[in-house]
Amino acid sequence: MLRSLQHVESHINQCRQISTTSTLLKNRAGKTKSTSNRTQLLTYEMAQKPHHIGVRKSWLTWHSQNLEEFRQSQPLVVAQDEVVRRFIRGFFPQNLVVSGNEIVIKRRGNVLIVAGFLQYSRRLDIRRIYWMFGFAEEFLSILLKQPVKLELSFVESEETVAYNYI
Amino acid sequence: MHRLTHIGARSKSTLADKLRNAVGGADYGKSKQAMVSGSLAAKDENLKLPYSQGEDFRELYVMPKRKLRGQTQLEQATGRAEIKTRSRFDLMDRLAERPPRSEEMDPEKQKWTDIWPAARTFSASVVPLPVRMGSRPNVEKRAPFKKEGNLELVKIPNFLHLTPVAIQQHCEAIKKFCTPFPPELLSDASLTPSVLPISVQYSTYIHQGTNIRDIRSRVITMIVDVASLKLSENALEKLVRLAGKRYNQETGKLTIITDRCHTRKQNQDYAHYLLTVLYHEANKQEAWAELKERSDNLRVEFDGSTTKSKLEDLIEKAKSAGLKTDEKALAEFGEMWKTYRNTEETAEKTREYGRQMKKMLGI
Repeated sequence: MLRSLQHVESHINQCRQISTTSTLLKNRAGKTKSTSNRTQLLTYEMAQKPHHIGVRKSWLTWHSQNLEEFRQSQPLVVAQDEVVRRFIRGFFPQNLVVSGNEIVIKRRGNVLIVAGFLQYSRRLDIRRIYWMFGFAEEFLSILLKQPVKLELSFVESEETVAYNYI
Repeated sequence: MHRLTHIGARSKSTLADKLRNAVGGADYGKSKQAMVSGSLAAKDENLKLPYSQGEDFRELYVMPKRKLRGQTQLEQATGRAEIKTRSRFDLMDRLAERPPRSEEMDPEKQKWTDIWPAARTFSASVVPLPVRMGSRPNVEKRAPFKKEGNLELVKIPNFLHLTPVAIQQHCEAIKKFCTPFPPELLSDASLTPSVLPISVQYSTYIHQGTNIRDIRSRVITMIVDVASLKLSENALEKLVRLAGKRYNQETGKLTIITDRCHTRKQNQDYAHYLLTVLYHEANKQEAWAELKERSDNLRVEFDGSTTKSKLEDLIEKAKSAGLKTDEKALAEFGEMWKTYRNTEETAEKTREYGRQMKKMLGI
């Protein structure tokens, strides 16, 4: 019995092949699904397609590391951006607008500026917000070894940033 | 035995008894109340009493004393309890909310430079301008996206801190640190090389990141007007030989580029050092330098050339033959000959050569 199994195994090994599937030739980026009663909120950022970047909408991160002759630490910038975005998303969970996908990161000199929108419809606690801003700035400054400024402005609710409903 | 009496005591204090006591009179609760209030007499009495007469058992609350959430909800639904409305926990903060600053401010009376002193991200509540940004498929049907909550306005760099008034203020503030540009140089630019013979060029690179330094900013280019060094002919030739390609024959400028040190200051010092060394080396006259012959010259000289001796012979002959010759013409021809021999030959220059020769010989 075992011997026959061994034989089967060796047979399988001989027939091993690379499994392939047909490529999914479908563009999924920038496609939004509409609802029957037009309740899906779209911000301006979502409404414009990826090929409109630089034409109708601008970038979510601004720095000079992608300029010719200034490419000193492009990967570092990408990693820093991700760290900052994740931190803001996790630190202001009640105040996020469109789940924190639209946070603008600008760099000027050695300063990193985080801009965008937060909402206060769920909770408005001014002293707490001041403390959190201070903490976030201090924490990110120490982490990234450069001054970080939060220039996040507050809107009342997500409806303020709504460009369209589909 | 003990156990039995215990049971007996327990059998007496049934729920029915309790109720009876509660309805009938306050007899039952009396001893208990006295216990709770902590009167010594009651305690003494208790100590004396045997078990059968009974210290009552403590109440056991299986259910909590308060009403449960489901219970209150049921009561509220049936209208037996009134619904309490509580104010929001962040009520005070919401009451403290003010209309945006742009509506409160009086744009004509206040100083904009105080509101927006430095570069900052666009803030819709502060800027009192009716701005809109963004594209719409049909602008006449629906206007472009409004100012509040507009991410495009936040993304772009703005120049709200660089208003003409702000720039004027800035200039006035730094005026005391500046000296006026020499007016003589403004009126006559040709004076510049004689007054300012050395010019130093460098580039500063502005970009961002954790490290804002750029290694390219260390390079120094120093351009010196050699004529203002006032070198002798020999020294100048030696300097030209030493400098090599750094010396531009046409403009008479010496260009020294230094980039071997780490900082700009070091490179600038090094450039000045190089110039000093070059100057003193050029002025030195070595013993072997006197062995230089005519053929070692950088440029071909008219004096001592075979052309000159031949021409002089010719002129002598012409004089003896009685022809009229011009003494000055030989010197003029010498100048032309020098440039002709030392620069690239062109048809124009060859024609000029012929013209000068005819003029000199009086043909």
